[in-house]
Amino acid sequence: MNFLHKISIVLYLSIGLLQSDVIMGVVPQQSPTKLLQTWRPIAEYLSEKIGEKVVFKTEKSIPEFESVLYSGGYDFAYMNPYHYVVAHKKQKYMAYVRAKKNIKGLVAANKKSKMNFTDANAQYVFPSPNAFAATLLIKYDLLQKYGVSLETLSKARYVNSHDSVYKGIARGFGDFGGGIERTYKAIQDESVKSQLKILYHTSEYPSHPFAFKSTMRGDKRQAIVDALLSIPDPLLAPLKMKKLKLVNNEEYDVVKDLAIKLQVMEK
Amino acid sequence: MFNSLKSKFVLSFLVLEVIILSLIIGLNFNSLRSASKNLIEEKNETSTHLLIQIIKSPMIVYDLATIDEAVKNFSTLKGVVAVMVKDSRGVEISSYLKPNSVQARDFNKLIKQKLNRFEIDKKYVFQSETISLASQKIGDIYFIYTIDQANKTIEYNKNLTLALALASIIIGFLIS
Repeated sequence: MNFLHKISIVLYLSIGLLQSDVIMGVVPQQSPTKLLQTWRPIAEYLSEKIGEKVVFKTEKSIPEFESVLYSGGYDFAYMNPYHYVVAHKKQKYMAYVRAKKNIKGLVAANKKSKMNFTDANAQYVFPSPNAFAATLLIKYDLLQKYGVSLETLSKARYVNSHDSVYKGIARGFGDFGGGIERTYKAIQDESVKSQLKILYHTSEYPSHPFAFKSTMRGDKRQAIVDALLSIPDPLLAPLKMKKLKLVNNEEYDVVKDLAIKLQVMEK
Repeated sequence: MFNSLKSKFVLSFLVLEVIILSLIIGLNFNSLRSASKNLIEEKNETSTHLLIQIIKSPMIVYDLATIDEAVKNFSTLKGVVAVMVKDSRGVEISSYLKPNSVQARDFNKLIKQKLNRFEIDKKYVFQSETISLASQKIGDIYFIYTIDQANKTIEYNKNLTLALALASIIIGFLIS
């Protein structure tokens, strides 16, 4: 084997290692099957657009997703605004794209329930402790506007996903559930949807961003951003999104302030 | 008719053939029935155990979406007619009832009998299991499996074997 031959083999292997898959993380707000059905077509679309394989990845629970995200486990990820401010602080993730529509939390209740959502004895159900609109915004509003601290009363239960919140309230495993409009609209099970009513909406905040790892090559990131901005409507429809737009880090300062007020983030 | 030695020999031969064939069929049929029953029980036990392992952790936090999905996937297995998961207080968490088979009311009546396993009209098997985590009960799971198809297969095999034995006796008689 001559020297040139050896060099070419080393170069080939190095290029192979450099051309690894692009990992797209998605916060597990719904069941893994539902996430796979809605996000895999998007990963395939992005792969085709950028000419590199984009792999969809999610975790079993929101806390596990947080753990992977905060250790820089995704090249880019779709995450909630609170995850973003933490991921930006810990791993320098940068938000570039988000849905045009702002996010707001909602409090859902069983249609048969006559209880007031500010009742101190109410059993609240949330997806996870750090779900932004579905948990943190509702807790913030309850505390700021109504003086109800769910933490003090230890009345909150965390059931892993938005779908589980809605199912739990519909089946009577809690009085009130925290959710967001997008996942509420996406409830497919009619026996669940027909049992629910919305009692309260929080204020609006910037919605979930697609944030990119700072180490990602600029041209690759730009190609993904361009592809996301021109994503066909039928791919966005199952996610209950209409259009995506560019966003910058400063837009999420308001989320950072809220997280600090709720003492879930240091200054 | 059976006075000659030849006739007596033929008759003895046929009687012997019938006795041997009956013994073979009887033993074979019994072993087929028992093997089939064991196989079904083993299959049900494995799938039941697998489902329990999948839903254990979601049950602790009432992750109903994950539990529903596991129960729904489990219900696609052949022979599963009904599944119900209850928490430690006995409140229903998730259930699946195959359309046009069992009514929820009837299923609940069976559950109230508090038996681990019994057959219903030789068509179905009711089974219940306790779901525990770290030696602590977190709920119960109840199943109804159909054994109708297995019974039909056994019956078909029995009839086929009997027909073959009869044909063998007739052929034996004619040749003799």
